[in-house]
Amino acid sequence: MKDSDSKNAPISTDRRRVLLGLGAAGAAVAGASLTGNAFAATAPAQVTEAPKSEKTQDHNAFHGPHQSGIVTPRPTAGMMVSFDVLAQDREDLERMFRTLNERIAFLMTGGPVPQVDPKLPPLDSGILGPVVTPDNLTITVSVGDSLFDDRFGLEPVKPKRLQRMVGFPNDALEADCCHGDLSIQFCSNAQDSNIHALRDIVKNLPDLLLVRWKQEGTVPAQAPLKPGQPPESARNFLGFRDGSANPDSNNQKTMNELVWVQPGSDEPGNGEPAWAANGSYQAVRIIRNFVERWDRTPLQEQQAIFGRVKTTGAPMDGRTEADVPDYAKDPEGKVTKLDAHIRLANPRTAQTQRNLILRRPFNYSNGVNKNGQLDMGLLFICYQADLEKGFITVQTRLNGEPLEEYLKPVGGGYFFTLPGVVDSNDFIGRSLLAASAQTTKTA
Amino acid sequence: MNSTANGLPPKKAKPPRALQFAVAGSVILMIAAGAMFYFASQAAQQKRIANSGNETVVTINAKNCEPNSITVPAGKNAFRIVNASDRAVEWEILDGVLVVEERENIVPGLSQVINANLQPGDYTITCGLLSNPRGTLHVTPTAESDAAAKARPSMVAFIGPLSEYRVYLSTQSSALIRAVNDLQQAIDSGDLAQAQKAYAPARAAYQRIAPAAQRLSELDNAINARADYYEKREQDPGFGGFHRIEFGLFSQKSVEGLTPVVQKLQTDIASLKQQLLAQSIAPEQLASMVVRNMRSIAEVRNNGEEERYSHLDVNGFAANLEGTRKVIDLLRPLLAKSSGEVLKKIDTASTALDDQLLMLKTADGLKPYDQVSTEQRKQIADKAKALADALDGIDPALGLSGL
Amino acid sequence: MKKSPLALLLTFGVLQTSLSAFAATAPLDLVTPVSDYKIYVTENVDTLAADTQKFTDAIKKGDLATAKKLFPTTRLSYESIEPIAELFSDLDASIDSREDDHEDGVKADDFTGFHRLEYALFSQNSTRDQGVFADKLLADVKELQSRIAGITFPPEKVVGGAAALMEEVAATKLSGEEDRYSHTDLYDFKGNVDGSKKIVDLFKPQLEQSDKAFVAKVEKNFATVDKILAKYKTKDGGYETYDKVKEQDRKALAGPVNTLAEDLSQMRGKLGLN
Repeated sequence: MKDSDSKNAPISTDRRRVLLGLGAAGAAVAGASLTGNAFAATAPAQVTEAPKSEKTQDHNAFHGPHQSGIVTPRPTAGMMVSFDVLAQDREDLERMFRTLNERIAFLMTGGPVPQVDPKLPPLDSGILGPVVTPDNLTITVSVGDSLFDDRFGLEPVKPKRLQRMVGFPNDALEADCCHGDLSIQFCSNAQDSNIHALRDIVKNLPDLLLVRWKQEGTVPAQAPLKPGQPPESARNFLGFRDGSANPDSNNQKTMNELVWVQPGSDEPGNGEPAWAANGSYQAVRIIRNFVERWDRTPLQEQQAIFGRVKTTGAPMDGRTEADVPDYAKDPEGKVTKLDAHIRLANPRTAQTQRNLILRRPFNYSNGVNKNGQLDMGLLFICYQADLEKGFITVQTRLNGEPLEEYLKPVGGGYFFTLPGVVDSNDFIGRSLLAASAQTTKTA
Repeated sequence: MNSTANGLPPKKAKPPRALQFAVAGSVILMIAAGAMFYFASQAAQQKRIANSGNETVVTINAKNCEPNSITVPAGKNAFRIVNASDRAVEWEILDGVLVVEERENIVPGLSQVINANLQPGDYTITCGLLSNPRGTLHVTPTAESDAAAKARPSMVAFIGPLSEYRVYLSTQSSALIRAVNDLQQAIDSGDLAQAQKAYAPARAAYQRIAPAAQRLSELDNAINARADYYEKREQDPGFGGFHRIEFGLFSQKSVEGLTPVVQKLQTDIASLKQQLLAQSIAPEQLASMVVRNMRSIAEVRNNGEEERYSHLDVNGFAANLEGTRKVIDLLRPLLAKSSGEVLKKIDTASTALDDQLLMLKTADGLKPYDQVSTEQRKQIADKAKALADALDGIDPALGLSGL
Repeated sequence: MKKSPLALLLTFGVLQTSLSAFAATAPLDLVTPVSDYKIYVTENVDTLAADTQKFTDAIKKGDLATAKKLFPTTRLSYESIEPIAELFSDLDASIDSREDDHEDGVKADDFTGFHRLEYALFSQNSTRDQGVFADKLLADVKELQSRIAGITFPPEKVVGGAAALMEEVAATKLSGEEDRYSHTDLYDFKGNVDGSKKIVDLFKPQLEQSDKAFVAKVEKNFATVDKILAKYKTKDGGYETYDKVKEQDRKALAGPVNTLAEDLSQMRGKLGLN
């Protein structure tokens, strides 16, 4: 039937109707298109037909000096899960790391799931089918301050700056979504791939890991750039581009300075243990946004609070998102307010260069609060070589910023992201265990 | 005279002209305040040069003024007031019920120059004795005045200070009402000593808000006029207010006949509070009010004429300084932003005057003014003048001059 | 090129009105309402200080019944001036923070103020060891009183306060999570609404100049809220506990409250303030 055809197929018809819209002329054109299928190029799809992706086989290398999922470009779906480690002793702990290593290696590579007697529960949740597709998955393992208590003798080798997250003045931390012995960051092209990976780990380590809290998030996909167009960051749930001034993650030198704990950091005075080289500090914050209130805030105030133009993402004195604001020319904050978010976070002075952090945030949306307001915000994740010079300094500068009126950090924690697994003889956490074994012996 | 029977100003006063202009100007100009500050001060400077020549001579005779109807162009105007009557008098320019400029105590046979920066419109002028007929002053617009009205800086920054000043006027007039109630109770109970004691705090309360109260010409005359402004001086039936009470308590040393006077004062002060809250103050008037208040110490009141029966002048000066400092503090953030030097000068001058007055503190209060030496009086006058001069820097610094 | 009337309307009409501001209010017209608001806040913080004195006296005397009775009425004046009280974030935290603002909940060392005392009075049913919190609350309230006297009210905060109060109601009062131990939320509710309405009333002449329909709509919603609140008035002039508020009334409140938050958020723009 012509009529139903036209409803299903050419979306361009509807787009035209919207674009032309409102006027009688528009209606005439839309009407005209009913008679011919000039725009219909492909066969109409069924309601139940799944969205297509050509990227389900994309995968990231598991082996390398650093874990993946840090300088890796963010895919659409992210998930941060914090665990309590249930291991009773070092032997258990090693088993935990080895099992994790094995599962991660498989999940990031993909492949067929072994079939078992159907009278038994299957080995895999099956949500990706009999052959697991990697779908661009990265799994990044980090350890929390509490893992270095007296359970496993890890205390002497604790990374120097690792600490329990302490609430900032505007925080309203909820105990059941804070901290943890271990964090795992899952990132992939689809939330289902992350969930598959999490369920695999939960199923394979029931005696060693207990989920403490979990937060999922997304990065909205951007239209492909036109030639010559400068790159644009995705928007957060406040409608502003997030990640604009991130350091260049393709620049090895910058990453060595800002993100990776360097070999030789164990020198006196610096004090990072040798095993921690090539790891990084991970700061996670679940930051609720009061979106109803934000949506009722005048645009010019929103822009003054952020220090950026909402449409383009450009700084107040710039044209494009990539433009660098010139605060030296604006010492009184007439163009960009002195307490604007981006100005406090990154004052762009020589001294504050060392405070740069690599942000890797996701937008989250959880449901509805008791008062009928939307529970959504930012799953903030960042990486840095020095937690104190990085996130803690930046967030301290942000204390009292006007944006606080619209934010409430409710959870998160600080973790140390373990060095990468260099080859198949290595496993995640090996260098930590080895270093602590040595100190236990020599002590 | 267009005052009502009870000596109060007419109830329905039109809004002062300055404010009407503020309305028109500010709408356009909220956009580029920074640039406008610059242009406004430039325009003002040029205008000062252009306008320095206009001088109008007015002669005050015993019963009238000549001319009694004057037309001048907008902007800076000088009025040379020649006193041809036989007593010291004052001359005022009024916008509705509000005083725009005034000169007190013009000595017989001498002349004084009043500089007034006038906006286009019709004003009234008072002329010598309070019973003399009023004249009119017609100010015609000029190209400069039109330009200045357009180049007015953003007024948003002044909402805060002006609001706080209105709150200050409200709380201080309430304090004044309480202090005058105390005075009235002492008088009613026939307790001379107590009434004398109650006079000083009531005066201090009045003097803190005097800069604003003195804009309300008629009401302020009822509350604060000295005997000289009445034809029969102390014996004049119209002589009332604070100084009539002072005359009774300190010169006649009696509370007799003061009950109706203090009751009238209570009524007047109640309307004063009402009027102070009802009358808007334009931003540029904040500074000019306190300038005028300091100049009146420097030029007139340092001679001790104000509290001539009680010699409590220092009490009043100190309260004037308090009220002035309130204005300084309210404008401080704006001044600190754009004109640190002006602010420094003001602070130095206000501290100097404060120190000078503190020197007159004695164990049991303040030195009676008849015991203050000529040299010390001169010091007070000089320091009040220095402060007034420093305060004169405020309006140009904030882009408010020449409006 | 010929343009249809509609297109012309779009380019000139709709765009113009949506981008240019409103019939702008002269800034100096705001002096009177802003200063009247400060007088209102000053009176309320004076009441708050006097009430807090009585409330904390009762606690220190161990008079549980009186302390419980005074708790909601004492808070009322704080809630009505919250936009100004919130300007001092340290005091707002120590006077009015809730258990869930602290990671360690009720046990947190810095959990002080009204809700800490509320927890003792209504959840633990005791005044024991509360003297130190009572003293701290009184000291904080007095400090607030003196800071309010000293501060020049930022006009945009005053005008923005009307919306801020309704945001407060929308975010914390509808759910009954503000006074979770005493369930006296309706007093706070009333304080917020009255504080918001006061601001609207003070700026009414200016608002009416630019948009009469706006004022009428806002007043209608205030009236609706008041009407529902009035249903829960008790004989002594107080309010029922929030658990008594019917589900349908909670829902009926949500509409006007959210609409007020939505509408009042335009007040600053309508009055030409940034």
